[in-house]
Amino acid sequence: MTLVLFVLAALLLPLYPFSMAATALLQGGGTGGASVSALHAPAIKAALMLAAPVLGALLIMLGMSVSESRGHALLQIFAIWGGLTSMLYAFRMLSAKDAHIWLSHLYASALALIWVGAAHGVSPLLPALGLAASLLPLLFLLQTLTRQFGIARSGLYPGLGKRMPMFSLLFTAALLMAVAVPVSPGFFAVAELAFGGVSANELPTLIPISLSWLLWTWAGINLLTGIVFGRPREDLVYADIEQRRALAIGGAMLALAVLGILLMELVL
Amino acid sequence: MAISAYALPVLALLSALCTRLLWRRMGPNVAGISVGFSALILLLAVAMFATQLVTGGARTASLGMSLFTLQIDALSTLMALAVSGISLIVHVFSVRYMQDDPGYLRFFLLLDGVIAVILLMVMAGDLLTLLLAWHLLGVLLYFLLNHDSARASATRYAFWTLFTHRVGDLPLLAAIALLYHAYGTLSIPELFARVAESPGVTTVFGLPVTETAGLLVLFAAFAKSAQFPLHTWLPYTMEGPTPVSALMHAGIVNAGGFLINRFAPLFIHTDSVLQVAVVVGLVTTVMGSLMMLMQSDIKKALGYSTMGQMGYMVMECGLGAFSLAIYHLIAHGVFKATLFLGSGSIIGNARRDPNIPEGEIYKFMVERKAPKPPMSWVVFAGITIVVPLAIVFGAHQIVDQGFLHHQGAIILLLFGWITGAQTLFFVYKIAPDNPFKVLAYVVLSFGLVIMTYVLVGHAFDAMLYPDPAFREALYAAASINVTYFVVQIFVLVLLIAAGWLLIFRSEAAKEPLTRRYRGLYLGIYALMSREFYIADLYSRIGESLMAGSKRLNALMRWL
Repeated sequence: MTLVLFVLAALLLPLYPFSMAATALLQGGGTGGASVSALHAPAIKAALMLAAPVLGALLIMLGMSVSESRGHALLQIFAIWGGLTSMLYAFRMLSAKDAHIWLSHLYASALALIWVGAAHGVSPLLPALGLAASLLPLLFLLQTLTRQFGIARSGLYPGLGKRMPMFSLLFTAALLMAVAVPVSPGFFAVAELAFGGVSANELPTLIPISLSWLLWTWAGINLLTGIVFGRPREDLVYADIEQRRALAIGGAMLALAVLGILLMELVL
Repeated sequence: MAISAYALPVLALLSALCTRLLWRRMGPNVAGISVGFSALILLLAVAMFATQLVTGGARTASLGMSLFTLQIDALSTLMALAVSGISLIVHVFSVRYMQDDPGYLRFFLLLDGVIAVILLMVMAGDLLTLLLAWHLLGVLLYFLLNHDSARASATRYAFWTLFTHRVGDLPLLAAIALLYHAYGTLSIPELFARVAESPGVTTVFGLPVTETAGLLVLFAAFAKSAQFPLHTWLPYTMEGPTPVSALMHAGIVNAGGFLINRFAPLFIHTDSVLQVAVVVGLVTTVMGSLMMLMQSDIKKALGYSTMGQMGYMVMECGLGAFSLAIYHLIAHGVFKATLFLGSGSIIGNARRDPNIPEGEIYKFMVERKAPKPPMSWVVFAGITIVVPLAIVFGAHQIVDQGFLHHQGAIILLLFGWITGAQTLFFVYKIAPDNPFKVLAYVVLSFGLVIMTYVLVGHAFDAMLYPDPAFREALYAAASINVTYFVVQIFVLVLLIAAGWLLIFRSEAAKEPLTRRYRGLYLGIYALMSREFYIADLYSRIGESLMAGSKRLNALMRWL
């Protein structure tokens, strides 16, 4: 029973190859237009991105409550699997130019780390929520890019910082939040997972957490370089983000930062 | 004091907010607000430092939560004073320097942001706030260095900086996690009290926690302070505006020295960690100084000079002279900021008129004429070797008669001796018309520098680590086996003296070693001019990883 619950959780806190379902879903609708199905609408995606990890975390907790000793033994294997999945996707993010692919890989890489923490006694719920919530502002901003340029892709329309300054500011902040820069909830989730790993006297568990975290930054800079920085093209028409939408996304990011601090206070 | 402590970073953030809000109304004049806030922060920092000098001790300020606690002690108030002083200079300089820049507003916003984060870092009273500020510093520095984001080279080298800083975040995260697990607290003063109570706690593989965490803290410091081989970001980030270079070389790069000092109570419970700092610091000093000599670009040469200085600062910590490292980083910060801020006008003036005065230095440096030595090489070699040694030894003897008991002090004395002797050797090499006059000037300047260094270093010692037992414990943690140490020093002194004698002799015989061993000399020259291929190696690794990632994605169909 515990194994079944954990395998189900591996679909929601994605472990390779189960993760392909989640990445395919998140990559869908990246080209925009009328063909976007309801499942690929950003609001639906956001709800799924939040609900799936929470459900996955609950399944892990349920699995542990069914049989703690068996659950603990299984979690050691799932933790290695999670660590490898996380590093695999973090590494693959380096060359992802399509921002939806990039985001889907980050989602898989970040949430796979939950297994590493869970194996060492970290309650999976809050870190899962923190990591998933940190990705949401970027998801909504990618929709803006897709609507305007037909595709959210690095290198196609560089230099947005010069043409769409408000959007670029928000995009940069959202991207930093996604790669778990302080004071995003993701940062505190990473800290919590790292502390949990060490608390079980397992210093080596820091390796996947640290490595993935480092690669996220690298991949994030690649995305910024191809979208926000560089010389803008003259043959395109640019329209900065509407003020109301900017305020909504900016406000949400501020709220997420406060949430991150509160999450840490809850855990400590 | 608690309110003042919080006011320091909050004022910097408030400055950024006001600058942003008033930009439309005031335009470029808004920079005046940022400068005003900087002056206010400096005044507050001066007041805090003065109060700290009077009251002494250490206090913690809290917002009633475990995060964002601040530590108010001699180290934090002194660092806040140094940071706010440099910040004001950089702000004032930037008002005109950045005047025509389209990113004027962004520059001041980021500058205020960086200052707020540095102030938070130096005042941090808990490990998580320290990590948070440590991490954010690298991120904000990236955006400052990438000010002209349309230039690919600015983006590329700013990324090098960010990546190295991120590499440095990871060992700090590990150290904090380890200490939190072992001692159950994130509060810095509480942690050190518990470490003192039970320093023998072990971790994975039975390793002592203090030793492991100490090593991790050192690694974190190495990345921020550009220690070899994590140094490449520093000399390559000259694409950023000059005030950013000044801030980086005068302030940000010193973060490593600060971190090591902050964890001093941990290091006294380590056995062999500080020796790692000595070795890495020494290698960085030598490499930085060597590569500095190869640069024709003044700012890049200054970059490598900073690397050398940072190596020396880390080495000082490794030798147990923790407070001396703080004095060094402040003194270096002041003179390096001056050099950077002045470099632009020097380059500009030199383009109009090289202005090299005719004389010995002109003949030697420009015409490459080897002058006739001013006196017998044996006499001059004697002066070169004996005089600086007497000055360095005498200055230490006046201030602290027991200094010879500390191995670290002897090594530093050795460095002082080498520096002084090298300066005197240069006098011999350029052979001035009046060698004794020049010699007297050099000896006098050297004596003054050494005396000031020793006196101020001693004052810093008393201020930062007032407990003599604690100071002794630091030197003890940095010490090695006495016999081994004596043999090492003896061999080292013999080698250095023999090297000088050899060079003096070959100079006198008009047969420089560089001519005698031409092949070897050119080989080393080529290696150094390519900066030991370290940057090339990193580039190659980066490209290979990117190619590997692409191949893997294609294989896995991007899912």
